[in-house]
Amino acid sequence: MKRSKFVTATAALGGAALLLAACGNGDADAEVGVPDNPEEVSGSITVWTYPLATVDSLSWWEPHVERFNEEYPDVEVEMVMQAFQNREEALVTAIAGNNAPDVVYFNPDFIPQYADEDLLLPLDDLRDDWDTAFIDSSLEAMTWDDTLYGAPLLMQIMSAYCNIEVMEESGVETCPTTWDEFREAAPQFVDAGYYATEYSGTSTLNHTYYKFLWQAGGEVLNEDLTAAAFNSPEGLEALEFIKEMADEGWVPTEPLSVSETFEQSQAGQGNVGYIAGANLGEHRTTIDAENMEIVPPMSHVEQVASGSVGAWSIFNTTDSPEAAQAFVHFLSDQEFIEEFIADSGFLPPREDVDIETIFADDPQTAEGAQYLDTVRTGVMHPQAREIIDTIRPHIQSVLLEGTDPQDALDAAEAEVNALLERAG
Amino acid sequence: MAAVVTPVDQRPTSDPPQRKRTPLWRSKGAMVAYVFILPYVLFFAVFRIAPAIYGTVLSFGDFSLSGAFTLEGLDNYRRLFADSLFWNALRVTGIYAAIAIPVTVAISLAMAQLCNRVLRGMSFFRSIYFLPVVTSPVLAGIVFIWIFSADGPLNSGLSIFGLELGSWLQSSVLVLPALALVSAWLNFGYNMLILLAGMLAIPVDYYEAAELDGASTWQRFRKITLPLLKPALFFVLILETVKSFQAFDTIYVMTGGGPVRASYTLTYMIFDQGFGYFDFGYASATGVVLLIITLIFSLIQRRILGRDN
Amino acid sequence: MAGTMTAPALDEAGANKKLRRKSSGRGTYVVLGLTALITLFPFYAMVIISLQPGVAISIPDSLFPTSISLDSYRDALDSQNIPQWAWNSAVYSIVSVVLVLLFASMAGYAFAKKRFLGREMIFWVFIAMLMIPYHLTIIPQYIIVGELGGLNTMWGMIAPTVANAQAMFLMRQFIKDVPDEIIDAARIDGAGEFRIYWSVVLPQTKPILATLGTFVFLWHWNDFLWPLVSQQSPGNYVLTVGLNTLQEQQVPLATLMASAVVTFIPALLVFIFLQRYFVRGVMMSGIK
Repeated sequence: MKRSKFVTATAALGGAALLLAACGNGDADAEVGVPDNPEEVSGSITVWTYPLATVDSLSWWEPHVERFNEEYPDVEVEMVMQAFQNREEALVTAIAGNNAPDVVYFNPDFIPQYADEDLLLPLDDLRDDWDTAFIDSSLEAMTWDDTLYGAPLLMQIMSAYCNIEVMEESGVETCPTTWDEFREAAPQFVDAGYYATEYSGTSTLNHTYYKFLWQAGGEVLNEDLTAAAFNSPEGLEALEFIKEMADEGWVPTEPLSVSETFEQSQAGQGNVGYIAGANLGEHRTTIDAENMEIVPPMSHVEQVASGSVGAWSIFNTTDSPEAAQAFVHFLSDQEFIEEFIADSGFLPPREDVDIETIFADDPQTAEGAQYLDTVRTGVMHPQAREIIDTIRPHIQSVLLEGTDPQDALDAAEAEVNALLERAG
Repeated sequence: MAAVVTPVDQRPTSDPPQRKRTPLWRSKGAMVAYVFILPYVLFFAVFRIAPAIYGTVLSFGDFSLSGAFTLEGLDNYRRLFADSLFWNALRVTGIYAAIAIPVTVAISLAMAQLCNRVLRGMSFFRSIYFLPVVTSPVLAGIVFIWIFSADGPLNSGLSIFGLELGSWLQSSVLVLPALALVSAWLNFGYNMLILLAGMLAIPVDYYEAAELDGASTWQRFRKITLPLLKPALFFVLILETVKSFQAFDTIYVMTGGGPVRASYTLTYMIFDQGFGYFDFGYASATGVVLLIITLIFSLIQRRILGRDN
Repeated sequence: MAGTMTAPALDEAGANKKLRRKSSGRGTYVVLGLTALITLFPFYAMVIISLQPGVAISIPDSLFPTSISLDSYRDALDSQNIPQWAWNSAVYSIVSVVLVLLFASMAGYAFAKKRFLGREMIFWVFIAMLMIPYHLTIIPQYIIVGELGGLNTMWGMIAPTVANAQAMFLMRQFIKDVPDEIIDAARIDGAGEFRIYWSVVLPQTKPILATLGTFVFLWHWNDFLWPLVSQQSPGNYVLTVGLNTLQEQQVPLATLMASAVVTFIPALLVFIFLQRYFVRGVMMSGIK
């Protein structure tokens, strides 16, 4: 353990030799697969989960863990409800403290980063039905270097919808589904005293600039992920489209630089005509479901919706790899996923989950399922988040300070390329 | 004796007269002393000295999440000096300090002067001014986010005078003044007390003599108060310099370094690189640069102080 | 140096009494009152917003509401983790105060009254460490506490803050002024070393202990960065970190402000009851 030795040496320099911290990194080279002798699998595992929509309390998990224990009586599962805030910091703190969870809920952008640090257990051999039962894109989102590192639990699509009341008052006949239709409708919304849509300058670019870039037919990085590709005609078109929204007053200005509570946002107050990507559950807290007209994801050159995949990954630092695998196997079974989907309102990554029945009285959510193949979750790169943080200020400066879009893209490209080269 | 203990203490540091006896280092007394300082020294070594050394070492290498450390020489520094992020952070830190220090010190001085008089209810007012000092920067940040917002009270007040500034925290021009104002609000009560202590230490006779000579209030302030207040003023200045170089809490809560990195200071950069991207080596290199800047500034200040005395 | 604790007379009968301004106090009162209002405004805003849950805040109407409700306080105390966070803040602050006072006074005593090899050197190393920016040491501190298994634990949060150089320095200064005679007298009476420290020296330093204790308490109560990085599960947050989380989670403004008020109350109480120690501490030099 390089680190322990190093810390101890430094501490000794500082006059203290009490840092002989035992180093508890587990065995990483365990066999992957379904254990065929459940009774003999033992160990205790810690599982980090998060408030996943309405599945936000540990009491929901209890009966499921009990059912798992019927099959695996000697595995002790401790579910820990983490917060999405400072999620990354919490993880790294746990890893730095040799205290990483055994199983963790991950979204796609975590996979390359942690896989690259050699911290995740490959899951390709965990199940035989990956190829037959799971939606391809859910697996792709959890794959890095041709290795599967996450067992999908859920899929999410950010739905596009129009506020019917606002449409009627503005005289907008059809809810836009393309850039051109939106450009046509936007002034009508604004003339009637509403906003055409919202653009968040602070949230992840996966849901904002990237989405427009992809819709324009562009890409963030080149194919082998060695250089920026967004400084292209497509990238410029996307940025100019957003700039147009800000310049023309189609979007409220506050969200361009501040994140607002949904209830306080213009969208939450029902003052926005078209929402390009909504978490339906959240929007329904203040907007009546009947007042929403769900439409297909927007398209320009391509039709792209933003969304995400949630999955379980196993840290290879686990002391009980067999137990962890058994539990993740259980969590990706059809039976469990179906119950989870029914209670949480997400979409299933498994094709054999009957959403028609589950969402019988929620056709709006069910409708999302048919657009799952248009979902793009983000850029698969270990530095994905750093790339976003590098590009985002440049986009903000276009929207807030009138920087020329081409200049902004040039500057962002240079910075991203420097970043990629360093990481290279 | 009634010597007022002023911040930059002028009292003779008369150590108790050392009894000139043969030093018995291994005496029972010395052993007892080691026992007494042991817990403190242990904590200090592990949590202050070791991190300081470790931090410097980290700045010359790369520390990966899985725990491996590799020495990379000056790579981090080379990268730092080529990084526009760093130069921006340096610039932001400088501008912030250039706003926050004078504003805070001026307000503190004015308030100290205002409070340096005998009036019924004065202690009540002083208590009020002191209240922000016990307030956490996080709490202040949360309230001031609202105060500086587009429809917040500050803009509503300014619009009476025809000023439409919009949200302060969204403007890359106004964000640093806004943060400086929060810092002034948080700290002026503290500085005011230090300055007040200095003012109270000035012998009343000076003022009486000046008054007899027909000196105006302003003349008395300029010719008597200011020169004699110098030690206290310098102390406040140093305090504010350090605080503005290390401002973090309010920035983290209020702006997250934005908009467009307009409030991305050096300390914020250390945090962001360290705990945002877990690039501990790079963050430590930034920290070492901050250390060097702090040292240079305190040397300069010491020079000025030393010359004056 | 007899009167070590001689803080400047701040009462109405202070040294500057003779300096009474000839002009009437009215103009001064106006200025004093206005600045007091400005100083208090953020507190007023915090309270007044917290009393108007579910209302779209507008200026100036919302500053003088016609109807108020305590619902947001119920929200803050029920659905959020605030009681847990308040407990964590209290433990963090109080245990730190006790440890800092104990260790700093022990070390301060030794540095002030004992002669031993390396005394000056060790002392100056401590003082020199004050120059190192906290932000440089926080990352290695984090790694070291992590290696010791202290991340996400209360002790791991407290331990690094115990090494408080200013506190030790201050204790040393004040214990220096404790007359050697009473220490010698106690020793002649056969008191043991710890007993001398505990029942002879410490009682002499009560005022500075109170001052220091108030400082250390408020410093910990309001501390943010270290608890932020060292505690990562919501159950372990202290109030400042929790409050920031609520802000990031975008809870309704009224609930956020109600939580802020709740957070502030203990600091306010300490301020009200221990203000004189605090003020004295600042005027003596400002130890923070």
